[in-house]
Amino acid sequence: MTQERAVGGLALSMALLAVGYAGPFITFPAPNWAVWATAMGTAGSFLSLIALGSARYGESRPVPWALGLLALVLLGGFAAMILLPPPDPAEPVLWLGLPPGAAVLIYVIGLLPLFLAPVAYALDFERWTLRPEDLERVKELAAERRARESDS
Amino acid sequence: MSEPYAEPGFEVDTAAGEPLIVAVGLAYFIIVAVIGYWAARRTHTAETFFLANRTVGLVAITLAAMSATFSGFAFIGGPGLFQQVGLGSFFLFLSLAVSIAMTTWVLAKRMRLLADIRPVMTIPDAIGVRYRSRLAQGLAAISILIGVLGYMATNILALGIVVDAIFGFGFKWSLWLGMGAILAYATAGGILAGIYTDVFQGLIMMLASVLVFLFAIDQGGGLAEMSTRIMAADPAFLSPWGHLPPQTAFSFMLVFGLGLLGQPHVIHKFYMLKDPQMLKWFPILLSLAFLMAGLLWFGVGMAVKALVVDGSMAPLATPDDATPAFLQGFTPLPLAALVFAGAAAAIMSTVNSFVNVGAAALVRDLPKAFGLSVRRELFWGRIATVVLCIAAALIAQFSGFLVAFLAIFGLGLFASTLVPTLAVGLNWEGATRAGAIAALVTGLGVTLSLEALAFFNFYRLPGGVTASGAALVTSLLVFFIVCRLTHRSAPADLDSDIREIMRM
Repeated sequence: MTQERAVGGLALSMALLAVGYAGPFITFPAPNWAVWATAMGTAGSFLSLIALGSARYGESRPVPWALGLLALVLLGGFAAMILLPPPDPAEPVLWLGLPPGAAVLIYVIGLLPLFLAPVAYALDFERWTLRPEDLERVKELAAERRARESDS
Repeated sequence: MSEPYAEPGFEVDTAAGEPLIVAVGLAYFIIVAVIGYWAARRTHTAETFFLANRTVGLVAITLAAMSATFSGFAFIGGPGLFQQVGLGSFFLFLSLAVSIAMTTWVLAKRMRLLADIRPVMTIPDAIGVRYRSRLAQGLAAISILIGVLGYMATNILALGIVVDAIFGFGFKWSLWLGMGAILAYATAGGILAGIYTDVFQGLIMMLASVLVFLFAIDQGGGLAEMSTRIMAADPAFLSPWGHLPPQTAFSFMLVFGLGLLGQPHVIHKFYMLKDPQMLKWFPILLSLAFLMAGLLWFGVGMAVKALVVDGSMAPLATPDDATPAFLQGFTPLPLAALVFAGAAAAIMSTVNSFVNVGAAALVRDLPKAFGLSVRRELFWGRIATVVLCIAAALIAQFSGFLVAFLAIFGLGLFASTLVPTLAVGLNWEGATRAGAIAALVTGLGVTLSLEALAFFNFYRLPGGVTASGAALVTSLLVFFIVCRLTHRSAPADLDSDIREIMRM
């Protein structure tokens, strides 16, 4: 089931974060593997929660394009930030006015998902998130509850 | 002139009492009072007081969510933190890029539909009906009350400083004046007044932020010029983590990003939406609103650093002076006046949302936890609003270290207690009552103990890991483990109508 897989992903992300947070207890400053574990755990927790929240019980669909793109943006962006060399004041390289690592943070991690995820939500809304039959069923459930309350 | 105030990090020296700033400040307070009066005439029931009768439209709910989320921190503390630790501070803000849509996917639809089938008004209400547990509801209410008091005290303290910066009455009078203004409209008009003052306050915040951003980029000589100057003086400042350890930066992102799912004063607004179909456009509008209101943080952060390193601006006495000093030296007076009104707006909207949530926890959730119900919820809701406002103002004025301590763990406490129980629990049928209670107890215990140890300098987690990040991870892991161990009880812990909502 999609929900169970998403919950598994979230639990795995938390375990990765716990491993990452444990790193500095072993060697200080934090070893590189701990930074990677924290980065992947952070990205994984966001992605798992989106998968969990957007799932519908008993219905499976291929990994939605938005989740795939978000995974690419977050995992790729975090990896780029870790791997890119620090800014060099002697030979400053700027991408859209910022050093490369900062540009990845602001433009890729910050701006892309800000619009990508909401557009995906809107495009999917009637087909997947809230269908007319859902609203009808909610009305029925509310009426059943009112009837039960008036009976009692 | 303003009375000197020695609270660390809150020294603001502005043109207090300047006629234009006073006039804009007065106009702002008059408009807020008119909205409060309008709402008070329409507030006759507890449902209106706590939920605005579920009649709020899309634009209003969007602006209210934005302005409740952004406290004065976005205008004063954020640019200040940027001066202290560099670009790494921006992980706090950038977490919103993912978490706005995530929160809508995870919580908005299910909470809104839940409000159609059950008489839920509060976040602990939702937890109570999800797990059929008064204990879980009570623990959630306790967590919310502790966090609310901390947030309110900090914001009222900041409001005293901003009101003093506008009118120059002195800090103590300004604190009580600001608190009195919130108290008046929050008590009379409840969340209805809160939502529509939030709309007005949100518009001011966005306008002020965009204008200051444009000024900041212009005064700094453009983004590339500012980056080059900053890199020459302090290369690490513009690395992705700034001066923070990477673990701290990621920890910020986790706690603030996932933490949005546990912000009771924000997610509580999903109940109020007139029509659930409006949710379709909510994330896009909220993203735009956040982007506009957050521009000041980045623009002033970059410009002030660039101006200080090239000697065009004197070094700051404290990092939190960044925005006031920039306004005073580099923007026209009308814009400075608008920003001070915007800062007051940001703070007041946050406090009002918190006090409403706190009053509901006192009047509704805690009595329910003991199997009691309050008969005149509207009357007692108003009394609770008064009590909370006065308590928070007294803490802000007299407690000294306590206010700083309370402020630290509010967000972490909400995240570690409400994310597992509400955000995951409302989407996963395998969640159990025992798991929820274990997560609530763990979140409360771990957050309070780790933050207390760090605050009193007994112990800090190594490597820059934040206490709130560790508490969130621990409470989620405990939640999953206990749910797995007690999975046989999961079906019995869930009513059939709630299950149907969760399956949609």
